[in-house]
Amino acid sequence: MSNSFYDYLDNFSILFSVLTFIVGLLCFKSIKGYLAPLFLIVFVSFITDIISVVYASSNINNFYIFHLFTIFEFILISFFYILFFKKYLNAKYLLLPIPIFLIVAFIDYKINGLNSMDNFSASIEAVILSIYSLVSFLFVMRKLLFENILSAPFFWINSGILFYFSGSLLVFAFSNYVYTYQRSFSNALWAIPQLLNIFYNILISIGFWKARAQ
Amino acid sequence: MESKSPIDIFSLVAIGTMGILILVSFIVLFVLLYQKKMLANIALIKENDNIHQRKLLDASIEVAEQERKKIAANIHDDVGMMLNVLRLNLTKIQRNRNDETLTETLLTNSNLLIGDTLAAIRLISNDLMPPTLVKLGFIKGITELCRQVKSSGAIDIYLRLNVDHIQLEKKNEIQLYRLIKEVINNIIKHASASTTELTINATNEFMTITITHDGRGLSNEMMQELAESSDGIGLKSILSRAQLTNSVLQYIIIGNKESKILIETPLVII
Repeated sequence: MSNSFYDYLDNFSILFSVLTFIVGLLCFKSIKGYLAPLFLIVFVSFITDIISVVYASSNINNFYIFHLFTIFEFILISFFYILFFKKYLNAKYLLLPIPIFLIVAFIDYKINGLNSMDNFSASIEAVILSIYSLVSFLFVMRKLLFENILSAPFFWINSGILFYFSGSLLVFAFSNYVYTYQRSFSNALWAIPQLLNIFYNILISIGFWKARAQ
Repeated sequence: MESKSPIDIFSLVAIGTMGILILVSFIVLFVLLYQKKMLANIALIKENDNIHQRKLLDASIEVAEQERKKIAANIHDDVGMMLNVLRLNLTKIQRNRNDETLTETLLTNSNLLIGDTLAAIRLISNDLMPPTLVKLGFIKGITELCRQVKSSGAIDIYLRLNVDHIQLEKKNEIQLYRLIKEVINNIIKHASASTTELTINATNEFMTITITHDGRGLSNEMMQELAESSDGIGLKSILSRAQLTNSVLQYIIIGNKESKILIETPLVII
């Protein structure tokens, strides 16, 4: 497929990050509790996208922005789950993976440096967040937390997290490998997380909107 | 330059991702359907519970109506009839003032009638609100109930008290008293038992009343089934009173000639 298609997809993915941020601003009054870290992540993602586009257009290395973004993303999504679960159980144990993840990010920095993708920490992040999401679904099912699950913001956002991180896991894990051995497929491979990012942003927007409706 | 990979890693990643996404879709769909099904089940249970509550309420209203009818019949048939005879006696005395012998006989008769009327009124009043229970509390009330049952000769009843005094809310005292009375009535009427034993135990939190008998017993399932039938007003009233006092009621068949009814009541009322 032509490179212009992947460029369009890239821009489209950024557009959806911006749209989610706008939806978040429209529903700002309803964004409380566990939704607050998620709004922050949308904001950080929006800023990251803008900076990385500016850097890329000026041919400046923007990989370190993604390294930093992965760390922020993991911490903020962990807080999303901590704040959600604190109503029901002792969620302080969910703080434990954060320092472990910081060590993983540091190891990734030592292995890959700042001139390539942080595929190691991104893969670990995807695994941990997919587990959080699955356990959350199990918890929601067992405790029957929501009378109408479709009107609960948590259901949409948790689904988005599960789809995006589990779907992107293999891409994150093998991105450097494909880049080395099958470079011509690298763009095609990155189309997967780009498409999932669009879907993820749509689900988060629905979550914000549901919070406003409540 | 592109190196040759020993395996087509791109296809593997694409297929693997596709597999994961299909699996995730099924998980999300399962969560949705499971939640929907469970909530439908809960709604059904609530609905059944509401129907059950309504039936218990109907039963308690019917029991109250029957008690009123019984009291009305007692007043009309016993007290009314005796007062009518008394009035006739007084009329006869008024008409035959000069006949001293007849007057004397009628006065003696009337005196006896007044005594009987007072006894009948006492019985009705006792049935409405047992004075021993009201004045001396639950344990004495049950002791008096057992004495009355034993003296009636309907059944050999033994009371075993492992506690001297129990502090219950007044409204629960009367409900539990009537519950026990109905259970004993049922044993007399339907179980063909010759002996029954009532034991009361208590801890700081619970009071356990155990009623054993040597007649035909009921299991929990049989009790529920009978209570659901149109004839099961007494059993419905037992269930209703158990619910009112937050008591747990259990009907247990131990053997051919041994059955047990357990009533466990929280002493700190929730």
